[in-house]
Order: sequence, then structure tokens, then C-alpha cells
Amino acid sequence: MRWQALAFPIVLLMDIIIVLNFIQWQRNSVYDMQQRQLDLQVNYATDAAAQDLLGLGIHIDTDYADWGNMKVEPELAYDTYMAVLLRNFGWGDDARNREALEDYIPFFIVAAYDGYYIRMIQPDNMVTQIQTSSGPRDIDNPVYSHIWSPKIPYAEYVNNRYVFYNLGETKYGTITAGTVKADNDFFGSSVTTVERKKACIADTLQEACNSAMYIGLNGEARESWSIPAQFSQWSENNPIEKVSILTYILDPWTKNSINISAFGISGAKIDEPDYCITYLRDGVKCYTYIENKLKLEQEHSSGTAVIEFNSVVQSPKDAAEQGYYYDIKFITGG
Amino acid sequence: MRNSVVSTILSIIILFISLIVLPSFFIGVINWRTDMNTCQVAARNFVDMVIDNGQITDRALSDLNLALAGCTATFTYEYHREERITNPKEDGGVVVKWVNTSVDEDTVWHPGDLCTIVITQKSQGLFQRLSMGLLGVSYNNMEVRLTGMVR
Repeated sequence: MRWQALAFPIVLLMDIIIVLNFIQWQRNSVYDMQQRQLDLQVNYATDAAAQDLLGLGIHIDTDYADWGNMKVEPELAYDTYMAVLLRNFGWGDDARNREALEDYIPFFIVAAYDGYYIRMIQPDNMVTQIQTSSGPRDIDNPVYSHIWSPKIPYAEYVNNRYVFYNLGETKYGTITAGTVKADNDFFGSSVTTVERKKACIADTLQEACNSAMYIGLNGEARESWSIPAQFSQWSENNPIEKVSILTYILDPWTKNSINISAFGISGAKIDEPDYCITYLRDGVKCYTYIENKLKLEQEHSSGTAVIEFNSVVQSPKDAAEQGYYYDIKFITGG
Repeated sequence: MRNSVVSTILSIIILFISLIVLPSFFIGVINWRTDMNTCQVAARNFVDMVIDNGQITDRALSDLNLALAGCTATFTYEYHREERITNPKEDGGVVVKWVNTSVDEDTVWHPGDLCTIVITQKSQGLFQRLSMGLLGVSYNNMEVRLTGMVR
């Protein structure tokens, strides 16, 4: 009889335990889904940023020495990253939302050929005054904000000289007693090796990621990151070999008891050119994609507009740089 | 053995919870998780197909429809295209904007255009409704939203 009296509380207790476990499991399921969605969103945004970085950037030599590589424009990549990320979250693409989202991005790194740029919280030396009701006032302490660093080279001190490296190159530069000597070849080098170069670049970027995380999250170093040695599954890119973007974002929704975050790494290759045609429409400089040429010819022959073709360019950016505007007639909706 | 009315009622309640409420909750969560998983994969495949092919193919649409039709709950989706417009700036350089444009299967997408898909849950499955009614469980009706840039 005593055991029968215990049956009810035992079953009740079991039911409660099962319910609590299910509720926890349900929460974890929501967390898993949100985590994966954030991963996908960040990866699409970094892919787009890398694509614009190389597709629209200025293709000229490196900053330090003529090694025949490219200079990159980190601001361009960041703009595209924010534009795509805001759309992924369903937020409007305006300055206020960009500023709000920035608080959740402790770092945004563009690993260029001969150094990296990092956007993170750091003292902004350009701000020396603040506006008050009685006029501008000099500030004593620096203002901290999300700003870009200058390009920081991949360099280390080896054998009494500074050695600086490039991504994917078989050459390196040295500085000894203030003399810059570029174009040393790794092969037959007694100073450094290719493996040492890769380790140095990986260490430099890792250190940048982790210190920016620490500063950006107010000393809450929740995670640390290691630069993968393998090529990224997403875009076959690796920051030790090619120009890449590395970024991190905390859950901007802040509706979870568990913090979710995503680390994005991406690079891109330049694909086929996106040819455009430039012309004068009734005297106005316009451009459109080459596939619309037939429509323009029909317009001209029907007398709807006077079209005077000028040239074919490789991209909308090339056309815009020559002062041509996108022909709004070919915007297909509203 | 004598059973009191109270113990009988309690037993029925316990049995009801153990055999009806808890399994429906459990199955409801499993269904929700499977559905969300299906939606995320379908959305990713759709965006990948568009940004790789530069158009919305019949296959992309049929794959998406089939995937969503296989879910236990009802989902709807919408997709849209934002066309990249690059114009010259007054002070040199260029300015890039995206303009929302209409899109159909014949639309040719250009590199830089943005493809967004939003999948939204419109109703719950049977077990989700049961557990919502009996336990007051709220399922997280997160929308699956992905945006990719055409390569």
C-alpha cells in the first residue's frame, strides 16, 4: 500500500522532468535554427563583399612594392557587406540601421596582399573637439569609434631584420637598418621560408581577430578564432593564400538566452565581365547592359528617341566613371 | 482494492498528459524543427541557383515548391530582385544603389543584383496546434530570410 501511494508522485515527477527536458530541447532547436540562419546570412554577405572588393576595386599595384598584385578598397567591401546583411535581416538600408548593426560587429578584416585592414573600435584621433551649447570644446581623452586602421603589413623580425610577406607569393621583402630590399625569393633563402610566411600571416590575422573581439565585446572574450589552414568550403578561399574577408557578428536580435554568433570568411574570384553599352539618349549620357542594344535600336528606328551609341565597357562601374548614368527606362519595375 | 474518485481523476489526468500532451508536444517540436530545416535548405538552394545562374529557372521554383509542400505546416514564400544601379558621383567616383524591380522567369539577372527570398510559416501542424492548445507552448515562427548577390 505504501508503494501504491508513491506511484502518483513518481509519475508526476517524471512527467515534470520530461516536460522540462522537452522545453529545453525546444529552446535548443530554436537556437540551432537561428544559429544556422545567421551563419548563412553572414556567409552570403561576406561572399558579396569579397566579390565587390575584387570586382569593383582599383586594380593597381601593392602599396609597398611593385609585385604586380592588386590594391584593395576595404571600404567598398564593407559597404556591400552591410547592404547585403541588412537585407538578410530585413532591416532598411539606411545610416541609422548601419550604425546600429555596427555595434554587433567587433571586427571586419580585409586581408589584402601585403597587409590587412581592420575595422574595429579604436581611438579616433581625427576627433579633437566636441560640440557643446557654448561652442566647440577640446577633448582630453580620445573618442572611440568603429574606424578603419591603416594597412598593417604581415611582418616579423627574423635574423636581425624585418621580413614582410605577401599572400600567395614566393617572394618577400626585408628591411635592414632602414634599407628596404624587396623581391627576395623564398627559394634558397636562409632568412625565412614559405611555411614561416604562412604561419606569420595566420598568426597576424588571428591576433587581430581575437584582440578586436576582446575590445569590441568590452573584455568578454567569449570565443577565439583560428585561421583555417584549408580552403573555405564556400568560396575556395584562404586568407593565407588570397585576398579575403574575415568578420564576426553577434546575434543582433538579442532575443535569445543563449548568445548566437557567426564567423564569416570569404574571398572571391573575378568572373566574366558584365558588358555595358554607353550612348546618348536625346543628348543625355546613359548606359545599359548590352542585351538591351536591340531595344535601343528599335527605339531609334521608330523615332521614339534619338540614340547615339558610343562604346562598349566592361562593367557598370566603368560606364559610371565615364559620367554615364544608368538608363532608368530599363529598370523593370518599381 | 478501493479507488477513490480523486485518485481516479488524478490517474486520468496523468494518463492524459503522458499519452496525449507530451507526445504531441514532442512530435510538434520535431515537426517544427524538420520544417524549419527544410525551409532553410530550400531557401539556400534557391538563392544559390539564382546567384549562380543569373535567372530563376523552372527547376529552382519547382524544387522550392516541392520542398515547402513536404512540410507539415503551411509555408508561403516571396522572392524579389534588387537591381544594382551604379551612377557617377558629382565629386568623382561612383555611387552604388539597389532598386527593387519586378522579376519573372525571363528576367536576366546581372552580377551585383540582389536576390532575396522570405519563407514564412502561415499555420501550424496538427501536433503543434495540440501542444499549443494544451500546454500553451509557443513555437518560434521565425521567417527564413536569405539575400545573396548574383555572381
